Amino acid sequence: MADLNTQPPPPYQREQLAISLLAFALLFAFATFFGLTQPDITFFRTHAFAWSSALLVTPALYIFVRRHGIAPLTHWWRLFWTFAWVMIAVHLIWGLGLEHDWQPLSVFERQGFWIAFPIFLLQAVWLIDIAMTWTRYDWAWPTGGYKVWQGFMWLFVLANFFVAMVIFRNDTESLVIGLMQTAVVVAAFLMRWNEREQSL
Amino acid sequence: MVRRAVNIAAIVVSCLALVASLGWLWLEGRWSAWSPPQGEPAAIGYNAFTKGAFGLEAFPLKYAVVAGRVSSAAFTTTLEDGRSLWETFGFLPNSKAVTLKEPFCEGNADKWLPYGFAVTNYVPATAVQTSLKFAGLTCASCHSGQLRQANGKLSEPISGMGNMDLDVIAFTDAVRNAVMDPDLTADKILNEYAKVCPSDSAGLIDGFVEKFMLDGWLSGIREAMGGDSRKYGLPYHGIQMKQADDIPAGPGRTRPFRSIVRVAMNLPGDENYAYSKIPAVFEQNQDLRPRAQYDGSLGDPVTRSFIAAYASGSSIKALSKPEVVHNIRKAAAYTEDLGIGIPVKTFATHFPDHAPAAADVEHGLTVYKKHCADCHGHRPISADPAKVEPWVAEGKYLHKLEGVGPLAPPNGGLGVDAERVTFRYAHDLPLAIWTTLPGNPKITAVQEKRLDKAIIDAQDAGAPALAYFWQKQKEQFLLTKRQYRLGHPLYFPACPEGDATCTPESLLDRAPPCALDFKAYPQTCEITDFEAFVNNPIPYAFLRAPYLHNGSVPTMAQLINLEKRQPQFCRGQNVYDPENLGYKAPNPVDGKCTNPREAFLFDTKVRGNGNFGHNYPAWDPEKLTDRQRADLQALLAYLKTI
Repeated sequence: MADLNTQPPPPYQREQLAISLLAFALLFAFATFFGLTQPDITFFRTHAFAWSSALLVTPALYIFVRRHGIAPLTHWWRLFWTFAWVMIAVHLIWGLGLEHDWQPLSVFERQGFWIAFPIFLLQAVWLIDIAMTWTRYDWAWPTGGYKVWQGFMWLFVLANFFVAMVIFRNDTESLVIGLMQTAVVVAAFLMRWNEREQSL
Repeated sequence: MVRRAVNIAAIVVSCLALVASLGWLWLEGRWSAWSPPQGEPAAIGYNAFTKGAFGLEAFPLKYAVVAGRVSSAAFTTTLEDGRSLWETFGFLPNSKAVTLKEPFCEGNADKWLPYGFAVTNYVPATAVQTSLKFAGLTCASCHSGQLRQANGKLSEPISGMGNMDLDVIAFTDAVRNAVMDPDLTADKILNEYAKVCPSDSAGLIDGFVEKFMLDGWLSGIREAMGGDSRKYGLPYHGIQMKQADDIPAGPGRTRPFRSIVRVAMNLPGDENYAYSKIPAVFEQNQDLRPRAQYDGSLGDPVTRSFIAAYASGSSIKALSKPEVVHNIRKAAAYTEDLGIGIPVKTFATHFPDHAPAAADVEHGLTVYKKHCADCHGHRPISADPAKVEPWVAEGKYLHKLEGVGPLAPPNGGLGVDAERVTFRYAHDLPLAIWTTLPGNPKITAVQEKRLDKAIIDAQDAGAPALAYFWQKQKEQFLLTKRQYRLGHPLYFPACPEGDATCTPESLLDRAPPCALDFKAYPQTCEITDFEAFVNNPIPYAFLRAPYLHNGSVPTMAQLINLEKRQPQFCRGQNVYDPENLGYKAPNPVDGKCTNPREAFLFDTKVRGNGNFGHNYPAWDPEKLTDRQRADLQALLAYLKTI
């Protein structure tokens, strides 16, 4: 409790919810309805939900790099971070439920431990992080252990998406989205570094 | 103010998109809800065989109602002769249609759709299930027939008999013509349907979904068929659909290997003359018939049924649906018991006036045992003409493969037309089919290795294009493997399940093409590619006409050399000939078949149509002695009873 920051959270603006929700809803609708035109609707939707999650998490990854430790995180971050998790949970439901017939062990059998384990771990720890984000008063101004936790989560989520989208690159869409996400994160670091240089 | 309005609008749009998406997903769940039917196995099997969805949806049901009106040009052959669209192509009429007073609509489809059509809600190819109803083919469309008597009387549909009236390739061309018509639109179909069935209106949501899916179906099928034109060419139309010069298969026959080369190998399948009669599927129990197909290339009846549906156009996706998998398995089981536990009416029941005399049948059995039983086994004579005794699967050559073409013995052996087993890509097909369906993770590793080996083998053989082909097949396999992470439910092992030597470790050696000797017995590879035909029992021989694998011999009397085989004859809706056991197939006049109902000219000189071979007893029908004639007449009498 000693680390708990008592600064008030940043102000909420309706457009933050409007735009993040719109992005989530349109991507969800795209996966649902465009899937009808695909040869394998389940396969497409499973992947489209993953692509959508990668797209939704990208603004959150960007904001986090720009602000973590130097400025309060914003509602933009929290909303995109949350919607990205919801979308990856939908991806899990589709993948595990419809493609693996709700048999988690088959995911391990098919993909191997070192690929399957992080998938489930990501779902769990990201959910814990989301829960903290919506329940902790200091979500925007983390300090101490919570700040480290947020940094770890950022890295863990980024690493998971990078490995899945760029290293494994099961399809062109994954590679393009993965590279775009990587570019955005690199750009965020460069901008942060540039701002730091200018402020010195 | 504007900013506030835009924000609210964005939230409203988001909510609408989410409600629409979630609502659609909920509806999808409702449309695709299915649970295995309960009841007697025979009834379940019959329903799967005659009404079960197999992923062979032809078109939306509402379109089926109005197809003759909105697509009359596409379906008109000019040889209708007063017949309905369905009858012209040889589908078995629905017995309830004659007495149906109300118009043919979606709601009473079971009373007018031809026998063997299923009503399903699967969108073709993608197998997405919606509220839009489709008319689809089942096993029974092809594997149920009727006996037409000289007085025009038709027997009831006989499950398991090939439909010898069915012009399935011509029908496919008609459908392709119809859906590629640029003037055909969803509105046109629905407007015409509303005229025919004014009281049959869909609800608000279903109506919207129906229009949306009809549009989607039309654009999807056009795109698919447009793309497929490179493989399939443009469909024939009008009188061409009934002319042997254009569509050489004709009634009661298909070109299964052209089809399977197209779907499993994605190659054009041109230069394929493997014409095949639609086979009878009685007593398919593996004790009696360990190898399926005329060439004995398949073991398991489920695999046989899967390949039949796949070659006919069912997609891998459709074939993975629990309902379709259930139907394939139950229909296969039905054919295993059909004629054994599930009774099939005997010849004497159908034709009591032509029932052979007991003394002739007894004599015939002795002739049969001398000339036929070594290869086919035999059926003991039943005391009750309305029943049959169990088939006795004993014979020196029974279940063994008889080489033809390059594998034919020096004396010619069976000597039948070899096009059925010597077509291009015949030796590449087993591996392509086996790797169409990924197995479980252990198996897929073997399947991948086998494809790698095929690439290397092709390169070593100096066939780089073939190596490229296998590379592409492997890419497709890897994609399919990702789509079916637990393995495709209809995956079949390369060697029989239960065989202790059939392990993932030994699978690479057993994988197609299996290198066993075609003379080996029993064959232990699930799928083979030998240039050979298999000797199998011939239960219900009277329902297997016309004879030989390509249907080139209209009657049993001709097959056993009691009568001379016809070099040319006319096929279509031929009358059954109980005397000679087969079809009365008139000879053409001046090389033409002028009867619109028997308009297909079957010329046995055409490549793949050969009626030579299977020369047992090897007697010249034009030089028979009295003794030989009496023997053959007795043999024919016995064959009527089995």
